[in-house]
Amino acid sequence: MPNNPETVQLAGTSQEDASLLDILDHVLNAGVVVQGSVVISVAGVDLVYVGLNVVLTSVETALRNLRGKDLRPKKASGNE
Amino acid sequence: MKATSNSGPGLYLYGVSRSAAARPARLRSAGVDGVHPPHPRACDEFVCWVSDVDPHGFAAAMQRNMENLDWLALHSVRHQQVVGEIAAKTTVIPARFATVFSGEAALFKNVRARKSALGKVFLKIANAEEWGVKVFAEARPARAATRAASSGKQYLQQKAARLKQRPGRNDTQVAELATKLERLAQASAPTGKVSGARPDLLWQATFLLSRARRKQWDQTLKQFVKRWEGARRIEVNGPWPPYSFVSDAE
Repeated sequence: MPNNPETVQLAGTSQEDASLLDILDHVLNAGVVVQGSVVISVAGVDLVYVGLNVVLTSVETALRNLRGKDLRPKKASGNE
Repeated sequence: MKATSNSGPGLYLYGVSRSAAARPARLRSAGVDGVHPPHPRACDEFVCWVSDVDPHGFAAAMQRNMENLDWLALHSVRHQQVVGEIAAKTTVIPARFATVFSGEAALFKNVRARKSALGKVFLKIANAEEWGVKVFAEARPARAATRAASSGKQYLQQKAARLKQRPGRNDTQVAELATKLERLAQASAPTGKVSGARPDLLWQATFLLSRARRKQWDQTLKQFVKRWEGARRIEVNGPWPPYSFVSDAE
């Protein structure tokens, strides 16, 4: 299994943004809810019902930031 | 990052695999916080894939940023890179994005408590992958240039006429594809929290597909691509770790 699933365009024009949206769709679709004694699990919160424009704008920005970049940060904290 | 007095780092959980499976190796992916590398920790017959996170920094940032798509995008991608890398080596039950434990004791206690549920999910997802399928309406043939509406009523009439031309959501051909894919797959689930709002989307679903069925799956999709040329567009994405099919492990 490849590490980075691809959006396969079976027909029609390609939409570059699709892959990030797809990642969000799948990664945020569920997964096990683990309630440790702990946690800050946030999941369960349905996020993105903010309206199409907001989502697409944010995703575009996110893509701009991500595209071509090594996701490994320089160093420093990944806190923000 | 400041060390905190009494507590060690939190543990961000990516997923759980079985220790009987291939010997865990080092992962190349950056951890979810971009700092701490993911690594395996053995817990009885399971392997928990975790990385350290600063509970007062990262975990708090996580809570603050759950609706910040920039942040979410970056960290979801990192999460997926780690889970995808593990899934390439062995069967893994992905943890929900943003699951952090206060430490190893809490993590292990939790995993042990759900031992039998985890076992069932491993059976379900063995040799299977997750796939997303979407059907979009193709651009309509250029319609006669709409005259500027001269009244509000006319505008609404024109708009109603345009909407009518869109392939409906009760499209029987789409239903036919859905039925065929469901027969091939082991399970299906709704999807599209993030992308679902696109207006030309007619239908989408996520499937758990046995690797052995892959050929039939591809053939079925190709048939529909041909049949629908110019009318509907199919997008398939995957293979994903089985994110959408592990909620029984809860």
